[in-house]
Amino acid sequence: MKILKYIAVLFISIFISNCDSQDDDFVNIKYIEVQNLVNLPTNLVFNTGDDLNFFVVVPNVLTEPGFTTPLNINETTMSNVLEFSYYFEKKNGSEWEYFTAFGPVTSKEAVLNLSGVYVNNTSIQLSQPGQYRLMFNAGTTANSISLISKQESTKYTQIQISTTANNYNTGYYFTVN
Amino acid sequence: MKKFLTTLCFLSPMLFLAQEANNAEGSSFTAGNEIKWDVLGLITETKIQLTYEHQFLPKWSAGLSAATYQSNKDKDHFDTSTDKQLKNYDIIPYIRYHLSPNQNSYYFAEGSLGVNSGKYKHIERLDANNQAIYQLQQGEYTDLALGLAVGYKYILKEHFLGEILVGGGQNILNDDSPKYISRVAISIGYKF
Repeated sequence: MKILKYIAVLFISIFISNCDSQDDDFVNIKYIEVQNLVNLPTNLVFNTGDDLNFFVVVPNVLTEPGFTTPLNINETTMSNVLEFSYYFEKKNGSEWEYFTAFGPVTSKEAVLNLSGVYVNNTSIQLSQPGQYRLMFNAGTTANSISLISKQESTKYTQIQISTTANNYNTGYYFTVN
Repeated sequence: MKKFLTTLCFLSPMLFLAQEANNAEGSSFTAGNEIKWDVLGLITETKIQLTYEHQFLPKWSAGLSAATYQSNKDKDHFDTSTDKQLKNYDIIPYIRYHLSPNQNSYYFAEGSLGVNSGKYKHIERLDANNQAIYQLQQGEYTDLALGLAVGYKYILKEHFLGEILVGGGQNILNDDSPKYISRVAISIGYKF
């Protein structure tokens, strides 16, 4: 019985000795908030067959609220890509339903061009009439959009930008006639 | 911390049972000094920990543990992993109350107030050429930890001893240090 007690204490000792290894994982991510980096259409009504175009435009040297010096995204992240994703929902009665006819959940990349701007131009043909909303992956609030630098290695800091867009209020709501 | 408290709850009945068992035995008190070396820490964390302890009353002793962490594997891992802190050294003065009257085989409770130090990671905004970048930086932390532990000591042929210690503590001064630290050892030593 005594031996069992000693073995129990030994196992408990090893167990507890690992308790303090880490409180939490350290994640090499910096979250920032910058307004109006996504441009959505100004109109909210389209005709069937029209294209819905939106643009992500992020200067590599980006003015960051609260600081006098602008942030260099590429030198921080060592990445030429900012990633984001979106999907559509269609209104059916009073319910919003996931809608894939314009394309399923889509991951996109805004790529750093020679002018020093991360750019993505997306064009989607609206092939069916109805009431829709375009949803982006949310940033820090439901009204914001998340742009995330592609992380090649954990030794480089990843930047997650929470941004806004015109006409975006938990989604971009539009009608196709 | 939950794990620590659970373990203390688990061990406490054993301690009282041991005390009851040893009450009848009794033995004479001899003031003495001990030097101990933590074998478990060396195996599990490449920790080199030496302890000096002085028993000044039949039921009371006090000591000082000093430990340094020497694992190159842990140091390399820290640079590339999501680990938040890397321990460097501990210096732990402590006082112990013996829960059993037997001087050669007894359970004890320990209170400590120790200094611990190491490295931590943080992201810093660095300005250069009128632009800024965020970059991972390493800093040094030093903190003071209040600790509690329980243990068992066995002394063989008046001089050779073995000891098991299980406990933990909480850092109280610095947000960059680990919130909780363990105080666990299986030591061998010499009493003189």
